[in-house]
Amino acid sequence: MEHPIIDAREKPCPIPFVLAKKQIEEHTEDFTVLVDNEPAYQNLKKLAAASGYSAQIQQTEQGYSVVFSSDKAVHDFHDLQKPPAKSDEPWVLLLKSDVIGQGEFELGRNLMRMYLYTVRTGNDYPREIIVINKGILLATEDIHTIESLKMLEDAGVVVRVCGTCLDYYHKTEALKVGTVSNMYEIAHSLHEHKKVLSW
Amino acid sequence: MVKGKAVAVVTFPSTHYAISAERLLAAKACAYTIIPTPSELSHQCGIALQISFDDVQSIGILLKESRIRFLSHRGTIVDNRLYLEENTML
Repeated sequence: MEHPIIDAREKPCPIPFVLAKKQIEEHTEDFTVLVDNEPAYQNLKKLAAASGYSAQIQQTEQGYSVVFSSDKAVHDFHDLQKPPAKSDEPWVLLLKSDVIGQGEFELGRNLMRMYLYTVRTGNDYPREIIVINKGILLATEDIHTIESLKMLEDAGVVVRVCGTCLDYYHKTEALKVGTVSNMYEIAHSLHEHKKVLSW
Repeated sequence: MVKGKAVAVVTFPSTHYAISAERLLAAKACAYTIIPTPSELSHQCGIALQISFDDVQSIGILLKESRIRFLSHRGTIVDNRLYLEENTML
């Protein structure tokens, strides 16, 4: 079995940690990280312990070699931002409002920003995102949600923006991301996909 | 070569502090991203701010002047994902 050796010497903190973490996320069973300072290997040792790996540390002429070995088939790894499990079927995200839930506007707006951030940093992208009614403000007004929608669009997600709604709220000229769509396309998309998540 | 962008994650003891901070940074035209608080820091409230590492000091001063309680943690963005280094509270 392949045993990757990652040379993280002369790499600034926290790059050695990040490189090791990527190997763990990819479920590499055994790998070695070379580092050249004590704080780096101490951090790697903690990472191993928290991730279900054993770590053997050897001092070398040029620093330290940390050998990670998988102790378990399934790691109980506490990822900071564990992405949602990947769906088997394509899904559509329908955003009917610029906020999540009812209540204070500032809270609802930030919940929506955080949700779109979580979607864009995860690995289970929807096939399409449809913004409708006040949801169009997500694609016209809020720089935070516009950034997330742009990143998703760049990754291949189709972002459909209700043209009627843009017109109603006088936001047609303010569109920053997505393509103007109509009810035929929106209805077709919703009927075509079995899984539709909606806020 | 790993392309990592140094960031700081600012957490708050309550949602009200988080929203006050967001309001303040928006008013001052500071660059920030609203993110869900990473699970390792979940003892804090659920809303966190991700800022450039270069802005930690200036934003820290702003928050302190407004008596907003917060903690900062060092992180790195790699491949569009946030990684926090352990024990790096700023």
